[in-house]
Amino acid sequence: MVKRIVSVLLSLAVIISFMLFIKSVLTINSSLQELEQNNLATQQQKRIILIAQELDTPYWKLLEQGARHQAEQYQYLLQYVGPIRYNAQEQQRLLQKAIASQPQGIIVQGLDIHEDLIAEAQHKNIPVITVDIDAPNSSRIAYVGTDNNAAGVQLAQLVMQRIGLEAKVGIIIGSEEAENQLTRLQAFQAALTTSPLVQIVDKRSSNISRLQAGKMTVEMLEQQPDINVIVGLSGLDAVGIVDGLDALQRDNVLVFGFDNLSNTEVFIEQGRIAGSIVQQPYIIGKQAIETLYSYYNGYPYEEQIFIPTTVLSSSLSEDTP
Amino acid sequence: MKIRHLLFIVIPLLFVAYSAISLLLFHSSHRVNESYAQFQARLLIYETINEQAQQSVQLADQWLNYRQIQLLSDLQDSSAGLAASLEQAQSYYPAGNAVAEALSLQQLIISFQQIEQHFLNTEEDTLLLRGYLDEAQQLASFISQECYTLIGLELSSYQDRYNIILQQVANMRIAGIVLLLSMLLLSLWLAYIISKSISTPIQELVTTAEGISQGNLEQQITQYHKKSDFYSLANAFTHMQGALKEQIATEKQALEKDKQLKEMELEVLKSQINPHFLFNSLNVVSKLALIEGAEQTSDLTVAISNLLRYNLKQLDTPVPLRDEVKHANDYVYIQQARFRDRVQFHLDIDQNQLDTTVPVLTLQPILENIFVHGIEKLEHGAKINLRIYGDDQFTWITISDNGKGMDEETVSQLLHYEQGFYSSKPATGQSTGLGTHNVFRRLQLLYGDQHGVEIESKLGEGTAITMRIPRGA
Repeated sequence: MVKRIVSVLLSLAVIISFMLFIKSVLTINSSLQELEQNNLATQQQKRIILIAQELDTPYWKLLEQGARHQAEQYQYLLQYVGPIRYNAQEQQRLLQKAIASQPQGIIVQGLDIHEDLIAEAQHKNIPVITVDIDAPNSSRIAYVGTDNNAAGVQLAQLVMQRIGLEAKVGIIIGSEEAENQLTRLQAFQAALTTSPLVQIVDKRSSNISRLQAGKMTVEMLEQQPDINVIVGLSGLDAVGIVDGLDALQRDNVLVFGFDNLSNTEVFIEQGRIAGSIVQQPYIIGKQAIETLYSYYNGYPYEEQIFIPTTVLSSSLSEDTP
Repeated sequence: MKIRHLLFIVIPLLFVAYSAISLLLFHSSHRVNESYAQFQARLLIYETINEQAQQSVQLADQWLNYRQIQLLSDLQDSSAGLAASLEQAQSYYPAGNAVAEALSLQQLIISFQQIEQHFLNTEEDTLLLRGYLDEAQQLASFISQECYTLIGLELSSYQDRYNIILQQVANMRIAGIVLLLSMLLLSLWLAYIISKSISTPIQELVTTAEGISQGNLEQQITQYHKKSDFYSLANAFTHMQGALKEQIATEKQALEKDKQLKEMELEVLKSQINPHFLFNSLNVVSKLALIEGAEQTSDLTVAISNLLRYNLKQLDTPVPLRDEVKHANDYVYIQQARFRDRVQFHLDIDQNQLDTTVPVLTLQPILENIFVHGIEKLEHGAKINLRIYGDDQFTWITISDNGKGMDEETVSQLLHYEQGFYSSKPATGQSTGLGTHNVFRRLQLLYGDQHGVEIESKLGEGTAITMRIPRGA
């Protein structure tokens, strides 16, 4: 009996340790295989370079995810590059580099300063798709992004829903050079000023920085304490504005913003941000690749593809217009 | 299972297991090393490409400035080096997350090489080359950037996996050590079991054999499985034990038969004496003689009666030597009635020895023999001596006469009482029926080696018969 137990125990020990051993060996093998099973970089595969405005912002990351998802479907290689901090010159250099590396497609913000390079790319048979900001006069093959005009109007409508008849509105704009911001601003202003009692009294630039947005809010309110509505036109502005209001300990100012970044949604839930116009960067990224796919295969595609924005307001409903 | 089969399975199995473990360990570590080497080779090639591009730009710049032919050949070398590096980079599999970047780098290098060609063409205009130099410089910086991006990606890709691999290698080492240890223990255990499966049956069989050699034939011999090597051995032992038992039983039976035969022989001997009628008649004669006043006749008749009564006893009845002596006296008294003064009977007896038990009718037949054969013919002066002496162990009885003696043939015939029976001559009519031969034979049957008989005889001078009887019997 003891003999049998000892035999069984020893056999079990051998079997179990053997299995563990084999498991380790297999894991190592599969890890190595994963490491080694990388595709040989072949020129047959289409390579697309996506140049972000800023590498690590949620907006651009979402856009990258969408693009990557779609690229994987078509087995395109996606290269995601961008400046660490927002810097138009750096972005331009990256575009230049992208063109030099001769990919099969480039996705980039349509800044005015890029127009020459976009033309050069077209000269080298590299299709360029602009996202986020359009450069209608350049030789880009298509624009995929938010209809900033419509978004501005949407924002104005949202604001008007929430304010009374009278309002003094301050505006924080991401960048006064950015086409998309300006378009939004113009559309917003036009839509808002239909009411004579609503005045836009101030307008400052945050340089798409949350800190800067807060600082501008404080300055703005110090100069004109009777401002009761502040609107942020780029992603982090609304959160920055809330920071500014906190610094001044003001809670009688309605805040509106763009996009659903960091804790925008939490602030809306708490009622500290009245509402936000949310763009869909994931879909923009996806659509950009889709458009390139159509271009490569000679399918028809639209030159301007607008991805609708949604409204996120304190009623907590994110409804499409 | 047969030990041979067990060994045949176990030893190769253990060997195969050990080999497999060693092979896997070796293979895994080899693959890890190989992968690491490839990874390092990729990093190295990116670094090399970066340096070569920078060097090419520098050389191109110097070539434009100084126009030394040495610089041109250097530039050619550098260009060839870059081409080789590009070829190498193209043959590598970059990390999974860096495929696009790797392609990008290759394209940048190709663009760089195209521009470099302009410098190698000596016909080109210097001013034009200046423009190309700017472009080359920019491309070189792009290449440098891309190289660092790639190195970063490779590192980050490898880092995650490498940690997993290191963890697994550590696990594998532990599992391997445990495995080898437990295999070692298992091998030892198997060796123990196998050796025990051999030594235990052997020990048992040895014990059985010892038991058999000591006469224990009733041992239980362990039965082994039919397939065991010890099955036939144990069977052989069982057979042997059975056969021995049978043989001993046969022997015993033979002995028993022998003994029975001897008892029958005694019966037959006893039946030769039929003195009842005579005994009763003698009593009547004795009383009649007394009434008629013939006292001597009466005494003689009583003596004869006693003699006959004594003779009626079972032949195997042991009696004290005292009774035997008394009986001998009676007998001699009767014979003296016949022989008168011609015979003198002497007794020399150690009284201590008279308690020794002897078979009934030990002395009388010998005395009878003396009267009948020894001294019958003597006219006068016949002497018969009865001497009884001895120690704690044995009693010696010597009966001697000075009669005519016996020849050697008769002596040896008398001493050959041990074989066969009925070899004595039929009674001559003058004896009571039992011969000397019969006495010796009974002593032998009763005492075996303990008894002893000696006969000294010379023709014309007499005979002395000495018997040795054990006292303890």
